[in-house]
Amino acid sequence: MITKREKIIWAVYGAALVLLFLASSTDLIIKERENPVYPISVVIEEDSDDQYVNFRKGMDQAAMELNADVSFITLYESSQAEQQLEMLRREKQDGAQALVVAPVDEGALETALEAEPLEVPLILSNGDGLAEYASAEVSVDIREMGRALGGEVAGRHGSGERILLFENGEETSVKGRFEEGLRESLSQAGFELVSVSGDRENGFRNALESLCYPAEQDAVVIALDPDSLLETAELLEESARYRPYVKGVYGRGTSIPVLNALDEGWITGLCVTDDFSAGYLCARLAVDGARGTLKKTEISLPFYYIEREALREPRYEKMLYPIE
Amino acid sequence: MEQPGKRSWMRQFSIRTTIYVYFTVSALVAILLIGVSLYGRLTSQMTATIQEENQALLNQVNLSVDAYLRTIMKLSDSLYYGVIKNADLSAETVNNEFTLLYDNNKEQVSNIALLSKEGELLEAVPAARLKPGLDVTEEEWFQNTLERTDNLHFTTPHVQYLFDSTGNQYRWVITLSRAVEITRGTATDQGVLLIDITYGSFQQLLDNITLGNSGYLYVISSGGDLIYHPRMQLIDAGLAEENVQAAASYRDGNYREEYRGETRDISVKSVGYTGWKLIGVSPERGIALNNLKTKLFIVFIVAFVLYILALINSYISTRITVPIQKLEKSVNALEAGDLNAEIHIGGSYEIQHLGRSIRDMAERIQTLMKDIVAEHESKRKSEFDTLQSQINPHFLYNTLDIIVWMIENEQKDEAVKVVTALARFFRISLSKGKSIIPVRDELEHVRNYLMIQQKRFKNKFTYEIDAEPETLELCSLKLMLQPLVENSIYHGMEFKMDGDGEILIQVRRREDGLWFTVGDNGLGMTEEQVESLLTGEAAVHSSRGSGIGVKNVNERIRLYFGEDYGLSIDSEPDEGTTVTIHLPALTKEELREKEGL
Repeated sequence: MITKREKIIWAVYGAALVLLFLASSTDLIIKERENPVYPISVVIEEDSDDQYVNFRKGMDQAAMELNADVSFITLYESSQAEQQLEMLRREKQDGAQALVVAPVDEGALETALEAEPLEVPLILSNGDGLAEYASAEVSVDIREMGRALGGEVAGRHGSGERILLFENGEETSVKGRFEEGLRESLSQAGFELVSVSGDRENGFRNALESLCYPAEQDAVVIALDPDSLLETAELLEESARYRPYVKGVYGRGTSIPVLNALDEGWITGLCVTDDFSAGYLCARLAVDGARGTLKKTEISLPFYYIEREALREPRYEKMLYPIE
Repeated sequence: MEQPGKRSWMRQFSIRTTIYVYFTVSALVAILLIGVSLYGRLTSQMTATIQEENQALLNQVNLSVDAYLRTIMKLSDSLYYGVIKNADLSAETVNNEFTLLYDNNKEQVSNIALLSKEGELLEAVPAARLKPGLDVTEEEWFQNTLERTDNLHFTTPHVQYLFDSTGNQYRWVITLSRAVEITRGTATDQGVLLIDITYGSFQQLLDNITLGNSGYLYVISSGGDLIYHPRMQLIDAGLAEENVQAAASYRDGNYREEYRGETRDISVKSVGYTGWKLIGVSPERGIALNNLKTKLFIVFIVAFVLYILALINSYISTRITVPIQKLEKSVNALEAGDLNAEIHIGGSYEIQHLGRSIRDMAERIQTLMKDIVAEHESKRKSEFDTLQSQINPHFLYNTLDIIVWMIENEQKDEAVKVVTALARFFRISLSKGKSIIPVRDELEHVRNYLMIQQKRFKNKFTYEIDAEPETLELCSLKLMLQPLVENSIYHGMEFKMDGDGEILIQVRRREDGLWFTVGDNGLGMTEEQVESLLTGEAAVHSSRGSGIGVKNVNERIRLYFGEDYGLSIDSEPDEGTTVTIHLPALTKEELREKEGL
């Protein structure tokens, strides 16, 4: 005869079997790992993605691996903090589960987000330290990059050399930090710094012309932004007249035209970063944010100072010319 | 043999539980052994199959890569043997032939160039010129080519940097170079033929090839440099890692390795001529049997089979043990003394046989017990019969003494009465050896006794016998009343003054049987005295009484008529004593019928 206790044991065992069956053969208890698409948006600080080619390749690699749908947004007009904020809100409303931003103005962004938070994870690219409103940050120490470039320039040129600081007039926090570090380093070395704001024709050409006439003067050109650097290189390539007076052209950037200019000798030295890795890491953190597994993270990537010869080194070749 | 202490924990379980536990544990062990061995076998078989499939896939990819490289090598042969070797470069250009061959292969080829051993660009398609300031003779690949002229040389992937190009594009290439003989007029010299293989076209051969769920494929050079990897850029950036050094040391075949805490199956296949190796990687976690649901399903199967076996075990153990349990209950009833308990006979042959044996044994015990009881009763009866056949010689001596005294005092009539009473007394005492006599005879017997004792005690007491007429023919036990009367005389009348003592004997028939009462107004008895009388401790001294005690009377009644009958004593000190006897109201015929049954 089966006792009541035995009946209970049989019933419990049977129930456990049913649970085990449901767990092993259906999706009722253990759901098959779904592979959702994570919509993420990247809003940069410029109106063109010329400087973000490698960054985008890194993001694409991460998107392929992590099943993300990356929207890459440029501004209608460069360095418009309000517009950038508006883009961020629009992307969030359009369903982005995480946002990556290269801030035009961190202060303005912080103020706006404190007043009205985005409520989705925000990954900061090249911010100045992990801000309160950001979930994570991938950055290069731009200020230190400026200092390092100043050091290289000071090491190569005598302190009597005039330094022309070319910049396009667009105010971004990245450029601000770069200039800060650069000025700090060069001022300490006793260089005379002359700021030239404008573009190729209205500003840079005039500045280079002034080296030739009325008095002949030597100078070192340092471009604070990649656009100014490329325009300076183009001016030197086009006009042999300036070349004897320009003792060196330096700047930062990783776009192919800039690298080509370095390879062709129009640029003397360049500060470069691993944009592919930065893009990959930003996208990965954004996906983590969309999944809800992101912890407050701050990743600092190195920068490198290179000259023409370094372009052929496998290390820089793979970093600057990512395989697609 | 019972072994105290050993396996005592098993004794607290029933035989059913014991059988059930043994069966189930055996089944569980068997299932686990079978399950583990099957799981191991399946896993190893699946791993072997996956490895075979990986190897087959690897062979297939290898064929594709080989065919791809052969196409390039054939192009190189065509350029050399079909164009360069037949041309006098001092007099003619080979640009058209180069262009034609380039156009035919431009999906795979980025540039074709012919260089002199001094590094001069002799011909190039589609590029027009070398980059300014570039000295190719300083390049390692150029020097290697001229050093080992018989070989084709493949570089690792690199960005095309030799030729001047415009635009914002860069192109990854693998450079194939070979030494060629250049004819210039009458002079021949060495040169280098260069073909830049478009890396993208090579990449297309290998992209999107997966091994199993999460396996992949990569290519390394003989020196362990990565030629292709799906995460090549991440590896170069330090964001991912690959066990390239170990892979470089592998020969063709299958391997299992532990890398960064993960077990991986590696398949290796060499690519012809180049020294490159195709490496297939299949992480163990990608094997279907290793996922959680599959493991749970295996657990479910084991648990389910165990459940079924346990149910069957339960049924079997119940079938085996229920007859044993029922038999045990029967034996318990026997142990408790119920020899008429029904013995369960069921189950298997052995248990049925055991049941029958126990039933037979119980029947034999019953028979033996009846025999013993009958023998005992017979022995008791014969003892009582012997006892009642003996009259105390003192009683006879005293009676004869009275008679002598009466004769000497010339009380002849009285003497005649006593002698007559004595004669009747003895005649009824004998009664032809019968123990059951009619009430009439028993009353006659006690009357004679009372008369003799009245004479002896000089009329210290009177007596009366009151019997309903319908009781006189009913059966009574011989010498049943005389010991009670004797007890009344010796305990009650002896100390009475002349004529004060009274003894009353009554016989009544009621619905529940025949009732005798012997009452006196003597000294009476305490409860202790009554108790000692019934237990035989206080019988009339043998030298004075008949020798038959009250206790014996009670036992004889029960012996002859059953436990429902017997006597009881009701006595109060100074009040008197009444002894009540309860017998069945049976005639002689009825008694004979009953005994006959």
